[in-house]
Amino acid sequence: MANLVEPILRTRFTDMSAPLFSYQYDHPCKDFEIRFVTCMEAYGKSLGPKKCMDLKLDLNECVYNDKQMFRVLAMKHERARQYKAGERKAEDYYGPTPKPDSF
Amino acid sequence: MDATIKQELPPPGGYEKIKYARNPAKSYFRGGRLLAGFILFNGCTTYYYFNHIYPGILHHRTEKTSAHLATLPMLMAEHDRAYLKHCRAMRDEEEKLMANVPGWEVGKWNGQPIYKTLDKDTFVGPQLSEYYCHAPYWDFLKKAHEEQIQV
Repeated sequence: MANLVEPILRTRFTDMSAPLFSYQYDHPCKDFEIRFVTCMEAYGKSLGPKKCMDLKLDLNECVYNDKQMFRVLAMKHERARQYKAGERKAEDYYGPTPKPDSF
Repeated sequence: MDATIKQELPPPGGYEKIKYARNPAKSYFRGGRLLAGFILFNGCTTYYYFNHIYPGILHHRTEKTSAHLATLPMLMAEHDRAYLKHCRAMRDEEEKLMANVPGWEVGKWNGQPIYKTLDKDTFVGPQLSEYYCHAPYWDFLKKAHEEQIQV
């Protein structure tokens, strides 16, 4: 993620290190990042965090995949719960299995 | 009985001399002849290799590359087809699995889409763990090992 936190002691040397850490070099989240950073640049320090919240959350999601992982966990837990409750048999415990090398 | 003691002495005429001179193996070729033979042999084999063996290797290589290139579109199409079909199957399975869970919407988490700002029709491919969500965990681990993804 872009280095968006302003350091306590801002000098020209810390400014030099600011563009070093970004996802702009061949990263799947580079579009999300550049949109968020552009938005922040347009709205500034005070309005930015409010106006660009969705973009920030999307960037977060792209980097950490929180929602997707929670979804996967919830589905696995639901499957286990159904098996324990007796709604699901051991033969059809699992759903569709992907074909090899299809990812 | 002979009572005289026989003293052990060198043989008559003394011991044989110790041979310390070098005894080199017989050399058949030396110097210029050897070099000339080396060049001749190398030249002949190189000539034979590049005129009779290497064209065959090139031909074989071209055949292999052509076969690979010819089958690649089919393999890629099959791969894409299997991928999309599995994505669809995952969606159906989720719908079936989470039918009794209150408040669950297919493809969403807590009623919110995964990416808020993206267009609704944008296809975002699943993560590997999501792709193997309904499959046994061991399959996912094997695939992650294959893809060298840290779990």
